[in-house]
Amino acid sequence: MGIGLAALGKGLAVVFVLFQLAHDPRAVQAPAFAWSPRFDTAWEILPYGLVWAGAAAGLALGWHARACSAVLFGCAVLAHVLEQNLWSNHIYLLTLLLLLLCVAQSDAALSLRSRRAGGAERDIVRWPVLLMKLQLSIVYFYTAAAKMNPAFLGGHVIEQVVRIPPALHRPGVLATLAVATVAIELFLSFALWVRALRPWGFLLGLLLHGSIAVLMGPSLWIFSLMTLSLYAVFLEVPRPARLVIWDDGCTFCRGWIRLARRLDLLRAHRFEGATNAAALGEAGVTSEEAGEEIKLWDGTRVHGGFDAIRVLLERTPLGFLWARALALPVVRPLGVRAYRAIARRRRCGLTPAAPV
Amino acid sequence: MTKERVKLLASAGFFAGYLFVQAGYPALSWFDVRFHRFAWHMYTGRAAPKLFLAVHEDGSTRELPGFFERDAPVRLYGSAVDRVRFVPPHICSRWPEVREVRVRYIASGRERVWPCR
Repeated sequence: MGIGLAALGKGLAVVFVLFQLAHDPRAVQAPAFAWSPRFDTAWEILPYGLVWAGAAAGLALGWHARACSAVLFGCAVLAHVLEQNLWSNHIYLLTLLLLLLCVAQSDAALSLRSRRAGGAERDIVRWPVLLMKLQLSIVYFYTAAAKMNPAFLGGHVIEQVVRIPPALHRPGVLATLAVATVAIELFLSFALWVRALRPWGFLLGLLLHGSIAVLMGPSLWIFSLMTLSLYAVFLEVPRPARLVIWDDGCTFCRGWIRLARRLDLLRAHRFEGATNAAALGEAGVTSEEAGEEIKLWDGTRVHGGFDAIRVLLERTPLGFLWARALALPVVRPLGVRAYRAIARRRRCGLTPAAPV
Repeated sequence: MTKERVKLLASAGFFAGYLFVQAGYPALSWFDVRFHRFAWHMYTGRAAPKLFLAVHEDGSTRELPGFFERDAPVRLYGSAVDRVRFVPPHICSRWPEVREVRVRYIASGRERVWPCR
């Protein structure tokens, strides 16, 4: 969905640039090749934009994703053929991802197609997904390597292109930000491949691309969206699903579990009540322990309370990028305290057998 | 050769070719700046800063400010445009009173001159 939305945004940007090139006498025409066609009139630009937007919407919704990706790939290649004003690493990355989506089965889950098929799980070819992962690492590695030069490490580039408060425009601060940027990009080039580092990679990536989007302007929103969407292919869905045990005698807990089920779009968890003796036995917890706080058995260890919520969110499409922040030194103690306070005051009184 | 085997070979070829190009091409820019495009050099500060000067018939000189600002007299929409190739002819055609365009490479102080006629 993210790449479809990024493609939609990029399509609008391409149409805008083509209109400007056709109508603004100040705009420098820079045809990519001597034989490049010219799109000068609305009758040439609009159909191109409509095809682009339609295919992007289809890809975002997961409706004939392969065909939509192929159409978008053609549109993006045409943009490269038309004008150097349309060239950028961002549209190039989008083009590469669209090429990979032409061969990947990106609508196998969480799409209109999978919904029509009743949400049944399908096997997909693995290598296009592997190439997407490698592509992201390649981008991080080479951009970090290219930034290892005096102009960037000295903070001059950050001073020019990043909108930071004037008070921070000091050589030491700018150089520190520059070095930190390179260090994060190098870290991300490998950390997403290492299971133990991956949640930190997700969090750092979110901070990096979030700050890029905020501090460098709308033109970088699309790039950030596209890159963060790629992180989803690094998200591992545990099979068999992890076991969540909750106090099914509690009305309050029932509402939260309903929300957790909704967030668990990848079906990475099984939710069982604390009255289920088999589930308690599988996780190795007593019914008293499960009644005190939610428990999550990940196959190797049991997480409880606030930590269980964090571990659960780390496997959800809406939570995986930021959930590791809940383990940070200041955040975790506060979260644990808040969880306990809420758990103490919860109102219970549900028949255990009531379905969620 | 069975259909499955053809499919497998095509997939393997695509995978290897894609990876070879994507991992290999950006490395070329380490040795030759001509390969800087599409090599993930975004906001790296590697592009040699240049100054574009329009020299009028009366000898006066006008510096052309940032090409990406909304009110810039000469407007670019992509940072990857070959400015040295496309900007001077644009200036010459837009302002008939311009005699020549000079491109000054700030770091080296070197200058290239484009006569408009």
